[in-house]
Amino acid sequence: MQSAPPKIIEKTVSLLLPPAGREEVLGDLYESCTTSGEYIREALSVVPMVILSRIRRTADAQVLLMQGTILYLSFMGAAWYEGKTSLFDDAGFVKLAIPAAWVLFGVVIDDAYCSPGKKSVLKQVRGPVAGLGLAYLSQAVLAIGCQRLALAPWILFYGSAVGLLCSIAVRCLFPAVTDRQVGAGGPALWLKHTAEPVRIASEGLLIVRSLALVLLVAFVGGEVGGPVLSTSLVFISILLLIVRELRRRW
Amino acid sequence: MPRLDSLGQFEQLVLTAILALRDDAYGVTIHEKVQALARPKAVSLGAVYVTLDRLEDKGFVASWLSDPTPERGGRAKRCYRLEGFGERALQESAVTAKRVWDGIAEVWGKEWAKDWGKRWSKESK
Repeated sequence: MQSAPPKIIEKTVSLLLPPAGREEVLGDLYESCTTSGEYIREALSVVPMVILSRIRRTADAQVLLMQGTILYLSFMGAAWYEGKTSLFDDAGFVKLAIPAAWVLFGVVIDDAYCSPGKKSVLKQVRGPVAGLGLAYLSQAVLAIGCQRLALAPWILFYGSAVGLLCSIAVRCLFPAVTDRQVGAGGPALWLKHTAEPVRIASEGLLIVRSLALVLLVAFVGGEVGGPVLSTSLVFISILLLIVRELRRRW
Repeated sequence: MPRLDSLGQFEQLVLTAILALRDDAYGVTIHEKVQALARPKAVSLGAVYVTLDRLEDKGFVASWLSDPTPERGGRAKRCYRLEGFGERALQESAVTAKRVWDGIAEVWGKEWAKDWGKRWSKESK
């Protein structure tokens, strides 16, 4: 490139590119483009293809299918528990798929954008949590714009709690292909089968145990004293868990 | 042992480019070479990346990051090398292409084949 591309454009392209291919793609764009206009045009065509290619490499269809089924069943179970009537409403079964789809979307994007080679349980948690954030956001938008497709708050809460727990468990048991070595030259199928399962560290177990505890408290609270007691107990238990964690660290 | 998949036309072009470039095969040079091989069709850099990823997954090529260079704004290159399976797949594709060529020449005549051969050699110069 005769002159360096504007920093802001290069930074934006860098942010959009998945870390696994960022270095070489930015270098290739820098080398092959002669003007800023050309750089932007080329980046606009290259970035989506690099992201899609990365998603193809990191997404494991079998694990995603398992997660999708578990999430859908979690929301369906929550709707069943809350009162079967909501299931047989207009679009009752369809609206259960919306938050599940958002969680899966979060998982797929997080897997594509995580740095290769880093193994940690937090990575298994981050995707579903980010997806759940998107699911809640979408439900908020639906509650305002299209009430017909929005889930009842308690169905969303119970379903997402159970779904999140099961989803993390599935990801820990069947790690995605993101940990494969880039440039190892091995076919994806081999690498999928030889990928070591992530060892569940004490931190990971603590997160899973805490989530299970919060879920149990919510369930028992809801059974004994209704939603108000359940919410209060969940709030108190989360607060206690945070205090316990802070005390452990400092 | 991985199954030796048959190559698509674009995959053949990318593998040929890597083979021809030897030690200088990385994103930009592969793209330029593929463009030259695929002319008059235009080839996007993104399509080359996608194909390189796919070929790497199949075990046909291997890649590694080189040292950063100033002409690339201090960024590293991802260099590519043909693996044994890639060479075999490319050889099979070349043999198939030769059979196609012979089959066509048999029907349309040797004069036609010679004429096309001349035209291609002129184009490549």
